[in-house]
Amino acid sequence: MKTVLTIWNARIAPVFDVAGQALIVVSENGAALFEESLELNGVSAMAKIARLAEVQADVLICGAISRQALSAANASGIEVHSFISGDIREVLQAWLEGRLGEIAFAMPGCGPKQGGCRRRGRGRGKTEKAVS
Amino acid sequence: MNAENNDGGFFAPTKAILESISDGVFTVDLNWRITSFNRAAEEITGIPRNVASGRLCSEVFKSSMCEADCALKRTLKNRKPVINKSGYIIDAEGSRIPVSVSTAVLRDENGKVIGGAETFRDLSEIAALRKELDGRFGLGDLISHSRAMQPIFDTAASLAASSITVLIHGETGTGKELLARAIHGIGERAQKPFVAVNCGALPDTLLESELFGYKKGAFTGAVRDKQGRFALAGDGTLFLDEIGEISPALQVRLLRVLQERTYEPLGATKPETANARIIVATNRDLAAMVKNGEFRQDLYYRINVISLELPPLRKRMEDIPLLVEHFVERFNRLQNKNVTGFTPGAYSMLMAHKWPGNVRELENVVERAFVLCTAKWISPEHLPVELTGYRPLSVESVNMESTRRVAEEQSILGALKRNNFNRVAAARELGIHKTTLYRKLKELDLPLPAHDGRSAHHGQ
Repeated sequence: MKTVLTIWNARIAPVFDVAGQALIVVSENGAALFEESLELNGVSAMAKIARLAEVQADVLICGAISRQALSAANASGIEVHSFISGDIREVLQAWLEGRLGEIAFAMPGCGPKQGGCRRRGRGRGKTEKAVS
Repeated sequence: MNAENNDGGFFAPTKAILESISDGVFTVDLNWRITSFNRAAEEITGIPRNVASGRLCSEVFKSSMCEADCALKRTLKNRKPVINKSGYIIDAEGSRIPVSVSTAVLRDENGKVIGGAETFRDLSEIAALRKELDGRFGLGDLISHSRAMQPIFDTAASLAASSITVLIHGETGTGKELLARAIHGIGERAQKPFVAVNCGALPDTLLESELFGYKKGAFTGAVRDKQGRFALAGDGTLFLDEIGEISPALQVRLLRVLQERTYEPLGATKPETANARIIVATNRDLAAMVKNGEFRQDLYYRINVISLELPPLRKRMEDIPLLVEHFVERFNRLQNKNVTGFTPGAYSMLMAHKWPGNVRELENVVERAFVLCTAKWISPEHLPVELTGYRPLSVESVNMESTRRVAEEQSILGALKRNNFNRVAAARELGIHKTTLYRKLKELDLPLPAHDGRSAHHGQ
């Protein structure tokens, strides 16, 4: 599985639409096998989604994301976990262990008590996958 | 400022004021953690202050400025306030809310810097009101004052709710894709994808796999399934630009999709359903192409259910000031500049141009001027030679002499153009003797057409 996490200052970037850097992580059975960085700087949100589709990302983990970008990601078959915050290593570990839904990783105002944000969007045309 | 003392983290005397205003206000410590958050900040962001407090401001504010161009960071670095910087924040629903922010350094009673303060204003309502006050009408990102555009906006608005195929015709640069996006954006499919394909930009075989996709093993190199644009558009809108450029073979395939609403990806054994609304556009005369046998008649009738004709910019010149204002606003925001607008001299050159490249050409001219302009006003020297008719002076060498020269050049050229290059009439308009005009023309080395406005064959 190929997961992309947008990064800023070693944390999940606050806004996907303007994020400049991302980390690609290839994992299998809950273990990260390979990592590489991905440049997203200077292009529109739609072009960033096109870039993710180009590298054949399965999952995107990011901070706030606009509705338009979320729709485009879903249309490209990318599963999106948005409005996530936290240290990039802790978020990655939580994702690999299937704990990303924990309140600690929700952006402020996006926890269940605040009514949540549009945190998940499943890509079209993909089969359900177990969290790797 | 002690952030520990009151609700919201503000001093008691200032609390009442900060709680009553409609601007959001928050303060941060030197680690970018929120130390105070007023009522309006809660309302605009939708985040209660007890949740925001102690969290990183970028993760609370979720603004387009945080990562690359944080106003607070700049203020704390330069110790100078930033006033009314524009951007947007993303709310819990994923909506982009336009905001303007202002920042200031926060010091304690001894003058020591302890953090920063940011005020921000929700501009959504102001943007809507301004649009109304301007008397402009528009659709999506298309704006106009022109009567020629009103029927197009009306028809497009009524088409948005249906799934009918639309043909948009217009010269290059008139905004065909913007109109298609606008129709998509106000309809029921707005939350679904809008996928644009330029049919003229891809060779035929590539276009076919791009539109319909392919299955693994369909050809050498097809190592996995690839979704086509029809599939990516899903229940949204597929915009096919330059439809007049597609080959006869692809015309047949496209006709079948439009008629049967199904298609087969390359290498597939069963058909897939096409649910997307189709909007096509061209700058070519499709009816003439049908007559010449270059475009299938059945496909033409299938796509020409409703057609919209976008007029060229030269037929709606009254829109130039509105469009210029729109582009100036946009480039100020994008390039972080504070350009006020165009000088009257520069405007007259914009109005005298024929704009063969239409709105796109105008946008490029404004963008180019932004790159060259270091002042508040864009003047003729920042415009390309196609508009001014003379080589601009070096932007760096702006002094009294060059300013006088530019002013003289633009006055003379303007008068000549208005008088169809009749030198005597131009001199009369300028209030100078014709010999003075001839001397100035020689001094300034201005290029002139061979005719002089009295006779088409009479040289100077």
